[in-house]
Amino acid sequence: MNCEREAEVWRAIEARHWPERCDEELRAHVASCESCADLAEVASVMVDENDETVRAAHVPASGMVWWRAQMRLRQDAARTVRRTISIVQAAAVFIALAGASIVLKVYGGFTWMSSVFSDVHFSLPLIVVLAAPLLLAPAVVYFAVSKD
Amino acid sequence: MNVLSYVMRETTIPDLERQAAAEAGASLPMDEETFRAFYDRTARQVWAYLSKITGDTHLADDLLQEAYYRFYRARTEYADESHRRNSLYRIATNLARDNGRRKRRGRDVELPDDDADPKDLPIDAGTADRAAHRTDLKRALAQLRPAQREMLWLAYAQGSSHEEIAEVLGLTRGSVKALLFRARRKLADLLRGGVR
Repeated sequence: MNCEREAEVWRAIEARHWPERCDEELRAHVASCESCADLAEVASVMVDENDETVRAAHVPASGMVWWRAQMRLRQDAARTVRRTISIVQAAAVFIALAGASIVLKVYGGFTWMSSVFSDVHFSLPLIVVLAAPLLLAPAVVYFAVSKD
Repeated sequence: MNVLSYVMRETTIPDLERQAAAEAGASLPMDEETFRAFYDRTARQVWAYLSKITGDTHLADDLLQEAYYRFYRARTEYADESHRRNSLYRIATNLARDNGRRKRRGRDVELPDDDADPKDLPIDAGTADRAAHRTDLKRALAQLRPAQREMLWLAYAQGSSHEEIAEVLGLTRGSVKALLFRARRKLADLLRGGVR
């Protein structure tokens, strides 16, 4: 498959000696060997192309790239914190709603609350209205904060 | 004197953090000096690689910065230079592939248009010949699969070994050898203007 002289041809190309500064014997071998001819055809063009492209490359200054990386790192860290807070808030809303449901189930609706507050003559709709902000507040905070 | 100056050498908190991390076998992000020195050594080659495998110099500009950011975030502080370089090229390759996939979903792959028009290059001995070769190479590379372009560029433009290519492209050394041989044959045929 590969010729054993490929390494020699590659060294000549890599050193920019191919073909003018190579001896006649190596050039004759490349002319007669399919594998080395492919290597010479491809590698000599690609080495030249790389030299030209690297020479013409305009890359940003290292200080700029470093500064942008620092900025992005901080933004990513802030985003991670915000996401964590959102998850915790969503979990709190879920737990609050689940807890309220369980309490209502166990104590048979709002009748127990009516008995507790009978002395102050609170009506059931009034209690619901008073309790609603407590239940809805975490959800409001969650939707207000979780923009992303 | 030397012992005294060694003992009295100022030890900073980052030094202590680095020492603790090294002792624990963990790694920390590169410091600014190391990062910038590594960038200065590698950025042009990485940009050349990205511009050739994507065929788009503007995209190469964007991917270059993204690659270095992800590389920095990946924490390769205590890896050697070769491992560090392969890691960077792996990130750059994956970014280019992701972009290629998105591009293919949207529209057909375009021929690379990154190079200066050969007519605009300065005239000297051999320039016309080199310009013609560059145009031929551009056209030929556009006809190869992305993985073939990546492999050929790493091997013959940047002189990477089979082991390094395998590490960058996530292949075995044996696969690289066989695939590279086929890709080289195909490119050689395209450059000669025919199919064997």
